[in-house]
Amino acid sequence: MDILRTHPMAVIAGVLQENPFFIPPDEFLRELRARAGNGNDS
Amino acid sequence: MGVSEDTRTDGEAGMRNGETDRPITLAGTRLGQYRHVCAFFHTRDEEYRVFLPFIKEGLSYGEKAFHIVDPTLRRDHIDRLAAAGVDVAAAEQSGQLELRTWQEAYLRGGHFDQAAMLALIEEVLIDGQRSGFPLTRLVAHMEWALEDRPGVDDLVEYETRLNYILPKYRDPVL
Repeated sequence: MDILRTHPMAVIAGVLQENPFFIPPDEFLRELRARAGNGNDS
Repeated sequence: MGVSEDTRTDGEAGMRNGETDRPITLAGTRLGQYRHVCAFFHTRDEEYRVFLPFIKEGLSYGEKAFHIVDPTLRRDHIDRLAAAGVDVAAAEQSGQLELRTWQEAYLRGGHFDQAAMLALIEEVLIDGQRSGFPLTRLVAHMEWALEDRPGVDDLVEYETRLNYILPKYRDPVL
């Protein structure tokens, strides 16, 4: 789930933790651009 | 975690530029230097068990509370704050508590505009400082993103771009 990957911290099952799925914004924006370039926005 | 910040890392809530922060406690844990948090809940009761102590702690420190809520649940949100002992009317009147509905924040003009929303978040955090609040605790309900709203596809880009803005501030954003 993309939204989870945009937050450095997460509360999951009532526990605050560093989010292991977090992607820094530079990298995530590159990924989003690559997806758009491939015509795949899923 | 890759979010650039020119602060020392001491494993606890940031102490920056010689300034000592009061602790920010969320879900029983002290929040550290990364303060952009997503939270998933199964029920509203579970959600408020986590949010209410966080909100009340901030209010007790004289911090600003900025909440963005589902318009159909605005009354319920207020009732839950009041039931937890928050004097909602007084807090709203003093400006310490500011409630906005989705239509007054994310969905102004009937659609999601990521640039406008990024600007709004930064404006809220700056206004909090200018108004003399030591911190702003921003809590935003996001269930609208699960609905088919115009512009919703830009939400992920908006959320990742928030990671350029939020590290400039100490304020927690949920």
